Amino acid sequence: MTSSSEAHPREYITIYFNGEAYKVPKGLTIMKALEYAGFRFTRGSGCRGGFCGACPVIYRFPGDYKVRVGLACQTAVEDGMFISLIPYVPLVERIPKREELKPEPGYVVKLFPEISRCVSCNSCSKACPQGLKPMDAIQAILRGDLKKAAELTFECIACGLCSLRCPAEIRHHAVFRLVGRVVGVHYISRAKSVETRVREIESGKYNKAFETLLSMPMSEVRKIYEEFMKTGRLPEFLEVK
Amino acid sequence: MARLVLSPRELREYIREHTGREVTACMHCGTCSAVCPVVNFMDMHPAALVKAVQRSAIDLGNLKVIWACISCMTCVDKCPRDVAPGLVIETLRQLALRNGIEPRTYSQMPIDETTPSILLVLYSRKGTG
Amino acid sequence: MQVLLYYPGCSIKRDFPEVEKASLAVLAALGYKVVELRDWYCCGGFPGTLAWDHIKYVSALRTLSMAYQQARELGASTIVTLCAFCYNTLKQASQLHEGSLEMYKRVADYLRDEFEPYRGGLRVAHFIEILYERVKEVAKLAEGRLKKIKVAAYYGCVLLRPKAVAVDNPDNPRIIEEIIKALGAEPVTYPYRTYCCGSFQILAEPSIVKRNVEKIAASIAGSGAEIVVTPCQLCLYNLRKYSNLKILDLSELVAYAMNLQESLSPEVLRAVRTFESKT
Repeated sequence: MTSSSEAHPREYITIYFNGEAYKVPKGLTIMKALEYAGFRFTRGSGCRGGFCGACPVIYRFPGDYKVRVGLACQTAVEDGMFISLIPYVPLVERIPKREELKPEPGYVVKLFPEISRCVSCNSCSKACPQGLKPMDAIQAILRGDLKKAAELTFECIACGLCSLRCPAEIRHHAVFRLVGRVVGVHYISRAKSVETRVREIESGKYNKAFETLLSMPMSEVRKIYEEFMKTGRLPEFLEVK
Repeated sequence: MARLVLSPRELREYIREHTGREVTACMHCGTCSAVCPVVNFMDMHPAALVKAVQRSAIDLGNLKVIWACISCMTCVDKCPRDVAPGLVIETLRQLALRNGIEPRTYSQMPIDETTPSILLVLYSRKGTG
Repeated sequence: MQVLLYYPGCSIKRDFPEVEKASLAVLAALGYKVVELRDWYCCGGFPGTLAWDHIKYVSALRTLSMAYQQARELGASTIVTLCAFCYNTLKQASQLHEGSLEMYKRVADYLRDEFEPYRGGLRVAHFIEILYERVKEVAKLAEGRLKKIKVAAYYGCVLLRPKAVAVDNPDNPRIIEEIIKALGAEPVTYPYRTYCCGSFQILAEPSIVKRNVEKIAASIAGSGAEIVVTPCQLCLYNLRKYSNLKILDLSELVAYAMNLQESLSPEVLRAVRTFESKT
């Protein structure tokens, strides 16, 4: 019986972390490779799924000046990678209450006047591991287009890499979070159907149906469920009009 | 504010390297000060500043003229010797900013929702490093 | 129909949309097809072009490079801007490759990662230059509507200095007075036409702006002007804050004279109509 490592021989590559070289299997993510090398992440690791922004990395290759960025949990190791983990980017902000949020774009600029220091160097967009364009969003805010800024930054995971690279010291994801809140509160129309349904629920319209359902034995509930899945029909008491 | 004292020679070389102008060419005619629209708000008017750069050490941490100047460039256009006092002031301002000397913070200014972008952008260029 | 590329500038979009509306209406009436730049960024303000801060040129050169590509597609060669500071910045940036080669090379090399950096081929113009070049058509379209109202022009600094970018003689500019004449109004001059209003100091040292605006306003008051026009929105802002002058952006007066009322805000209409009823 051959072991899996004989049937599929492992290819090892060398990565560098904190100045030390480590031989790790090719094909692992940076996070897994560092764990393979013996490190345990107590900080700078979160969802491991490319979504939470806890594990940004910057890395370079020998002979190449370019700074490359990524998320440790999403980036595969390559031979010769010199890696630096970025655990936490300081971005202190006071979070305004919902009632304080004003619709004017100038409100965002007032709270973050440093965005007027933007020189359009594009360092932020080059640093985004998600391929977003923070520079375009900041510029949109300067010219008063909050909706565009909100759209451009909806998928921001607040890893902080753009702010680290910014020569104007802009606090990008703090700005984007504020913009998102302002746009959500003041610019996006509410779904009328949701508002209507919430009012109905609060008026107690569905209370009786729920009480009946919750007081039934499980076997009865199961019967209702199976009938619905087969025919799409619900019993009378659940068809609340 | 922090102190940043530079000798005439250092200043002269800095200005020459970065603006291409020679402060030694200044003949103290005073035209720059005469046309300056904010001269009343300066601790050293432009002609006096150029003279000081020529002759004595200057503490950039203690110099108000570099923050009062609005870069209207009238003095640069009018100088008969191409000394460009306005660019001298810019150079000193840049030196100060690059050494962490800033006149004030955003929170000390009356910024509100109606403050035009252009005001903030111009102030950011002149007063933040 | 001549195509004009249009560079709005962040402040025009956010803070002076009425100036944009009036200006674009005027340009359309003059027969231009005005196309807003597809990609543009805040010019960064011209003080950045004065010191040796290479990075402060990046914004303007980036915009020019992208504008050049779009210009080639459209067969255009002129970028028009409404903001005096954007004009000054873009103009200086457009001359960079002809001046300090070392500075140009550094900024261009930085941008070369993204696209071919601008190296000439576009004309950067301010709105009043276009108006002045077409002053005969302006006169025809205005039909003398302003009926000899006395109008004073306040130039401010940034369109006239430094000499390399000046739209007219900084000591005795005539360009706005000629436009005023074309509208049928009577231009009045006064000594403080090109005296700096104080610019951004309204944030940092407001007493500077107060003093300068008071000097300018006193000078205008002595000239008999009934209305003041300026091509610079920052001057507009400062003069409104510290004086009671009736002051409009030049584009608004031109739009009114050319019978483009739909493009004007109610305040502007009210301001100008009070004069019309007098004559």
